[in-house]
Amino acid sequence: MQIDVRLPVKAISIVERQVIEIVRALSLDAHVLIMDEPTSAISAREIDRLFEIVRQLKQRGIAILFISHFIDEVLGLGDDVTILRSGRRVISCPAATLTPEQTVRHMIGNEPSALFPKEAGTIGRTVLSVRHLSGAGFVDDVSFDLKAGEILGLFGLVGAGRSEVVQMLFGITPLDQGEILINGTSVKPRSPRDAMRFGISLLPEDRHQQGLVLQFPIRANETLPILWRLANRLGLVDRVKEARLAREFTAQMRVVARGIEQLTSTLSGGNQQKVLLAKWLLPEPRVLILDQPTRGIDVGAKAEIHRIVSHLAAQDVAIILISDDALEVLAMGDRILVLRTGRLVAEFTRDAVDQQALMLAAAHSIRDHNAQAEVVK
Amino acid sequence: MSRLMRIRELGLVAALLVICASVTLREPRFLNAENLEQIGLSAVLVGIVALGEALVIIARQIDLSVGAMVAASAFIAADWLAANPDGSLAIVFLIGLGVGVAMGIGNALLVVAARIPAIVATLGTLAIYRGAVIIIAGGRQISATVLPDGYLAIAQMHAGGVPLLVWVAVLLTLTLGWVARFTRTGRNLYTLGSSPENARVIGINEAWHLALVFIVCGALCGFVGVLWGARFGTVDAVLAPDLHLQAISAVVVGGVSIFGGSGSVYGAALGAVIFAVLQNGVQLLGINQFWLQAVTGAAILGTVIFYSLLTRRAERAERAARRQPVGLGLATRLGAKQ
Repeated sequence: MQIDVRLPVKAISIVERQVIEIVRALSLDAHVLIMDEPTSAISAREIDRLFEIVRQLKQRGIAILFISHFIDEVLGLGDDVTILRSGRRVISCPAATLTPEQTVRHMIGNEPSALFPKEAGTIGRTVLSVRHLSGAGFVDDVSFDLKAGEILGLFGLVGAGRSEVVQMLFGITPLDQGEILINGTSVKPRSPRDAMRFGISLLPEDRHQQGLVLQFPIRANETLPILWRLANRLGLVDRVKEARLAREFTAQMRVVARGIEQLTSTLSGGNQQKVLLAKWLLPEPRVLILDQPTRGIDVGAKAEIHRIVSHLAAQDVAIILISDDALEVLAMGDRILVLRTGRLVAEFTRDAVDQQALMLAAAHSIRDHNAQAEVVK
Repeated sequence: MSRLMRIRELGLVAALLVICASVTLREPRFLNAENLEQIGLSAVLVGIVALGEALVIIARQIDLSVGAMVAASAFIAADWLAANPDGSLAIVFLIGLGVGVAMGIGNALLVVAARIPAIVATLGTLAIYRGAVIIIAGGRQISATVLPDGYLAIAQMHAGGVPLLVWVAVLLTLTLGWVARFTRTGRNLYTLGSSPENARVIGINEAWHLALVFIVCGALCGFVGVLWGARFGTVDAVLAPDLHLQAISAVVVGGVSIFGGSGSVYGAALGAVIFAVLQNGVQLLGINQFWLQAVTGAAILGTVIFYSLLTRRAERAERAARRQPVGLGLATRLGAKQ
């Protein structure tokens, strides 16, 4: 590979940058090279070039630890494979002895489900329709319907485009193509405020950056999306009503705290997440999008959040649930969509799928469809 | 937030009382009405600028051009008055405010429209505004002899034994403090300052709010410019050379986080009073002026360290406090509202 060494690094492609990182590591006379998800940000063609380089390094006698969440990469490139789950080693064996199905079985294990399954409820008419949605650099032709009282699980690996899709629905990321219909009417959310006006709430993935203002008390965090409704014409906030609403919703979420004036920075992760949920329920959404609502919180808080979400669906709220956890979407989702590198690759109903099928759909053979995919990180 | 803020403000009042008491012990003349009035008038001028600076800093911005804006509006207003000695004072105030607002708009455009970081943008306008007034002045100085008595009397007027300007400053502080704490615009400023990303997701109009704080800050500087001439009687192009440092010091000592999003306008006003008292005490006790600088620096560092300890302790106490679900007992069952 020829790279002009005088160019600034930002002017070269991602795979070239990776080559430079590899060269830098080798310049230290490295005997062991650890590559942490090197393929997550490059296209299929570039992956081939990268693999070529990795094989050359191997022939030179360098030991390589290659980390990936795509099964075919690990099985195709590796001599030996080690599978980790929840911080523990499950198995180490030669790659040739594993099939993709066996790999998935090791990845998901047989953990007992500590989840709160969705309450049975009636599913109403279609509230949200998404048609041929494309944008954010790699989301390609995504279409689905969402009905009142339905929980739609959105499953996929990190970087599959789940957050990007819902951010387009919420007006954070502009869409290149496609149509969004609310109750059959075409809408164009250009900003989060637009989306809120259409009755959409989005609980963002990042609890700290986009989710909560940690220096604010519980009350001020929860009322942020409806502050404009609490203020009179002079802009004066109705603090009595604000405190009443905050107290009511904080109680409903069973947030464990000294009171609604406690700073959110001092709450546990699970309670912060409940405050965040209260914040996005206050606008009384018709469509509630939850981006990884239970990531990094304890089992008890997780079950509480499942209980609340399930109850909301019973109240006819239409819900999109994004999760990395196959068990979670299986327990909660009426239907499950699987995204892989920006495309919708599978749709399942709850009863017609198990963990293994979900994982295979999400992780296997990324390289069939996405000859053009350029994942921009 | 509010509890911590109250602790901070009470701490400031306590610190102020301790400083006053220790100066009085060594020099009882400190409590003379005339001396207190001088302190009050100094605090008023720096304090009103600090109010504007506090709003800017709460929104995670900074304005270094406040001194230059005060000088420009002071000179242009006084210049007009010297040329029109029979002119109405209302027009003088309008001129001062107009100049301040125009310069505030200049800052707002650079930060909001041209997207230049505030510290760089106002570093530039600090020089430009100061340069402009130096060119306009052309070395002239406008002295009390050419300014009408009615104008100079503004600083002498009293109401209830207290200088009128002190009342004005108190009123401004309470008004802006009220706006910052209890209105939607105020809350939005805190949200923007604490978490710009969050503000975007909520749909807060960042450009409008940032423009607002720079323009309000400019207007307050224009107002102070007019008062400046009335108080000192002499106006030239190089007045208030360190005002930006004094205002930012008052804001920081007043408990406003330099990273934005926390602290109060009241604290900034108290900070300005503390510095006015310190300065007066150092002069009154005949201490070498060098010590004033050292004391100022020590006060800034000391309070900032104190605040961070206070915040950490308060957070630890909250984490350790006995907990129970909020409003349990009163709690309606989930779904009662949905």
